[in-house]
Amino acid sequence: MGQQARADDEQLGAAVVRAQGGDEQAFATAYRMVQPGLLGYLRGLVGDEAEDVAADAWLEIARDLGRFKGDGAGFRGWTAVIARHRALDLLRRRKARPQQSTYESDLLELPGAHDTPAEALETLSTARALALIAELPRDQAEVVLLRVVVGLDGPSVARVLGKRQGAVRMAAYRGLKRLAGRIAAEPGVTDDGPRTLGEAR
Amino acid sequence: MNVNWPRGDEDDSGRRTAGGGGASALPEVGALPEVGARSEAGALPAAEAVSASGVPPAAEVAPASGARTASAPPSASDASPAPDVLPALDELITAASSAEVDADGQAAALAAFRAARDSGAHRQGARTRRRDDWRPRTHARIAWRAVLGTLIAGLTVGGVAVAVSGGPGSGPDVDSSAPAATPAVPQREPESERDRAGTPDDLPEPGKERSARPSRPGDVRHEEALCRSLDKVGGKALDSAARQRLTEAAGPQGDVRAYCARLLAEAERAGTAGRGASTKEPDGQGAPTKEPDGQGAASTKEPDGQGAASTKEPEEQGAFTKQSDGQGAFTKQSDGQGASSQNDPLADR
Repeated sequence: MGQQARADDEQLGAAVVRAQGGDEQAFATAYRMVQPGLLGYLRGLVGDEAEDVAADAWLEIARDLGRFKGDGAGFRGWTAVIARHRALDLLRRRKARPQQSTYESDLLELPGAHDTPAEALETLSTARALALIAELPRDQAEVVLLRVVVGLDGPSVARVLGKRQGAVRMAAYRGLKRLAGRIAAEPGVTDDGPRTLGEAR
Repeated sequence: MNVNWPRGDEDDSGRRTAGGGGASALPEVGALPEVGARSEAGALPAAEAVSASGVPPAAEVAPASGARTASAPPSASDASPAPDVLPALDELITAASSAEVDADGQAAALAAFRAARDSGAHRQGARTRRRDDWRPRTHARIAWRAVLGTLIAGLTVGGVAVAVSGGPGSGPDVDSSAPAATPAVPQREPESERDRAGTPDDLPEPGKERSARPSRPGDVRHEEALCRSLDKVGGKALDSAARQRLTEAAGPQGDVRAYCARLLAEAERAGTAGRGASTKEPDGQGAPTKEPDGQGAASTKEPDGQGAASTKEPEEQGAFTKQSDGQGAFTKQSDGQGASSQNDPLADR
């Protein structure tokens, strides 16, 4: 993914520059490139209300676009910070922990939006992965989501979360390790859950 | 969780089982369990359980479980599953996520973009706050690190340089005052050591003495210097190695301040005699700057050892018994003495 992401980021960076110059199409391009990751991240944070939060975030992004300085990767980080602030606002209002595992409903809806079986399958497995990530403890889930779904690098994740890089690395490591265990144990949970979970350690 | 699989499958089983197109996604599906299979063999029975539970698209599960079997053997490295999960998830998600963008959201965002652009928000008043600046900042970071490093090094080394005026810290100083300073550096050692040893014929035996003796003044002066910097920077800023050295030198009771006070007082006394004279002499000469310094060091040192011997005679004796008795005696005797242990190594050398 590395090179692909970099090429992606270059494209995104160019789009952002053009958008800052007033190019509406370029802004649409940037939106299409950033929104999926942002939405995945927000789903992990706020669950069902991710779309609303993302819409709020994009209003702010569109408004403050002129202030932004940086490349494509930077734009991902910048938008992630904005989205995170909106999400935290919501969580504060809600005074509740982020809803976890809200992907079941998406599973029912998403495949219908795609034409080919391959796309449906891909989407399904993506949703599976996101659901698993969302079950992690909040800090670990956030790090993993930012790394994997939004596509930020370590320093950017640290900046978005306002943590030190070491803490982010540790959270990512723990989260991914736990995730690996979940993924391994997950298909047989109903049959022999405790056993497989125990073995997964 | 696992409910999702069957439910999702049932919902669009017709579409999914239809094409061979699903095969293109199989590597990604395999990528997930593959990660899990690394840490446990239990994934295999689990996969069987899924296919045995009568989920329609068994054809899809089967290849996936095949991938598990294939990747099960290299499951040894349980210690670091994390690095391997990331690329697998990465691939999976980036491959799929590009599809899901809803038109409404995009339209709303574009409307907001147009409004902001047309109101001129992107041009004027677009002050870049710190949080808006995501340019790579490697340069700034390196510069900061360099400045910080220089400052810290200046604090610690500076103290040393003040005390050990003949040491490596004074190289630049001599350079600025006298151009012939660089050749003076190699000259310094033989001269000062000849002075100290008192014998020009220096083969094996003085060689031993040489290796032993210069470390003596060096130690005290170094600790002196540390004490000075301790005074200056107020303790906390002193790096851990320096502080540890001081606490070691201050002895078991570890009263660094008292130790430093005494050490500096001694240095003062010796310095008025030794270094006070040396600073006047060497002005234009370059090489002699070092020479009297070696003497100064020797002179500061000697009274030091003697002073310790004279004021703390019982302690000195304690030190000797310490050496002869071995370690059992060491712990007992040195307990009450405090300052003796820091004088001992100096006096013994």
